[in-house]
Amino acid sequence: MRNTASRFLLTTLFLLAFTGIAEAKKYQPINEIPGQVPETEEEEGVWQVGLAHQQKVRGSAELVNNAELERYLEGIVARLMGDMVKAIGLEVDVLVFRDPTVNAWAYPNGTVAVQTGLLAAMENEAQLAAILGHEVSHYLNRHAFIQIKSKQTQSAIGKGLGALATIAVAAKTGTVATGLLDSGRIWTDLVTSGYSRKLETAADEQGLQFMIDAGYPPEEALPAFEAMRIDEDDEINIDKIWSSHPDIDSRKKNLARRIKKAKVEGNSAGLDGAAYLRAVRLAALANSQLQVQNRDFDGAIARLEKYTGTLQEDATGFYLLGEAYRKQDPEGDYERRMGAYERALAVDDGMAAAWRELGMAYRQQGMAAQATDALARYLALKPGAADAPIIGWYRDNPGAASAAQ
Amino acid sequence: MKKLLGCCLLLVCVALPAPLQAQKPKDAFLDIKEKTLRKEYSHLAMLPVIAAPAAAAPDAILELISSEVQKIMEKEDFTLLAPAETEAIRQQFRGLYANPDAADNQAAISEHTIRELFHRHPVNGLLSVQVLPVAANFRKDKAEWAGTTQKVESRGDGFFGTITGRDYEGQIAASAIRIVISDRGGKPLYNWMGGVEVMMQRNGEKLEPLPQEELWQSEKRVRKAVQYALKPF
Repeated sequence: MRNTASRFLLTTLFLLAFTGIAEAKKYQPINEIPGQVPETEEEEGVWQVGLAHQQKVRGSAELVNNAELERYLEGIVARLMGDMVKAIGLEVDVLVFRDPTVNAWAYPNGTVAVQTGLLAAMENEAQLAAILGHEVSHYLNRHAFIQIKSKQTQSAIGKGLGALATIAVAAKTGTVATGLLDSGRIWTDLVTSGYSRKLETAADEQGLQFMIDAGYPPEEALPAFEAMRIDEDDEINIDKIWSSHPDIDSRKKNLARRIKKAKVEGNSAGLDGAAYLRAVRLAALANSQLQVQNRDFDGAIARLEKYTGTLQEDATGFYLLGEAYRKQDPEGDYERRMGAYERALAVDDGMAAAWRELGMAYRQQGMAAQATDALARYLALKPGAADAPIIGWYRDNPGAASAAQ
Repeated sequence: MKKLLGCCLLLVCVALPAPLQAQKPKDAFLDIKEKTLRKEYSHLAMLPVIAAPAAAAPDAILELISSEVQKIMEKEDFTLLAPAETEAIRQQFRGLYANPDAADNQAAISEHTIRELFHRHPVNGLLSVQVLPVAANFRKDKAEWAGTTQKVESRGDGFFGTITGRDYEGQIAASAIRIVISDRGGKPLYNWMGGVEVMMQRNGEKLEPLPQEELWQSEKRVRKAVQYALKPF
């Protein structure tokens, strides 16, 4: 009896393994069959849904839309992919979304999307390469399509993915429901959050190898993955791709094992944190502004203090730091706030907004003469500003508020 | 016989926000406990009551709303800075402009009014009151929204319509008073709404606006709406 059961179990395991192999073989990586993917109309439909979303967001305010930044990121992706770019005939493309969530994903056609939150969270290019390598692996191995196919009949996320597949079918017939595509989260919510543990592990491992082959030190993958860890009470990041994987620790453990086994020596690309920050400057600053808008003052201040500590020549960074201090505590913390504005002006004394806020802070502190000078500088730089009449009144009546109290 | 009011009703109400209000009064407190709000935000600056153009109320009604809010809040041990303080600052800044109603100028005036208000007065936050139109659900000529109900006046059913008792349902424009308390940074801490009155009547299968002179006639409904908007306290 036990023997029969064991035989049955072994047979089942064999069949499952065989099915897995067959499934993997069924969807060969794109680089192994260049020019043949998408292979079916259904897969083509999934691509179209992704392309439709890209078309919708391109040029919109959802993106940072900076060619130089995109070129830099595309350069990293191209470096990770090496000869595969040419072999596949891929036009490397990276979109940068304005979103403070630490997140990235790959569309089925190979376009990689990164969010400002990710770019700001990484400490250097090597760390970013670890995440981009992971996403490139998802693309090469057609994980979006595989995931949709395997999840169509399963539970909640399956229903969502099933809906996506339905859209995909509609897309191929030209009757795609554009209303559904208007949901900007279709990829992040339906596709990227739905990858199975198996696919994620495969992408982790292949991404690490891409990183090594491109000359990046693989150890940087560990802090990169650590930055993806989401606090449970972090509302902004909830329900996003990386937060749906509570097992960052086991993934890091797996990567650490692989790194040890690889015995890589001499890889040192992408470790210059300042160079990285300069390259992603716009995204990092935009991200801090988003954090302030979302009232994540502590997060914004932490990032901006780090940013200004590294890029001391960037007036905008100091100004935004001053603004984060001010908005966190509108009637307090004048010392730090004024210090940040002064640092901004030391770098660029033509920064009108910094003169205005410095003048307002002086005024609130009862430093009338300094307030008048600073506000006059603002008005000289921006005589046509919408608030010029009010600032002009403040300049001429620096002690008026005190009298009114 | 049930008949759903169709396109004409939807056309009227499509631009109106639904009275999306959570069912439980404790949901009025946003990420903060009532006790904490009472303790840490006991000193609030009340802003002048604003009426959306589509729910324009007479000045006397706005004053009534303002005084009712102040009365209830003070009874609840809050200290309110009168709306006149904010209005004085706003008017002072408006006076500095040749065209204060230009969009950019309005934004600058609003921003600096609040900054100046906070600079002058050590309040913990803002209390704002808005009169606005919402889409109220109605059935069997009875509308129900934001803690109140009201019969929808009807005419034009004709003799057979009256005796067969046709049953209409859908959404209808109604007015409501929304009260929001926010901290000094603008983060909402409290948000609750009380319904005032329906702003339309049914004429057969169509909805039509009530004449302006028939609106805002009941001070009782206004008081009740304010009470409901502050009921979570």
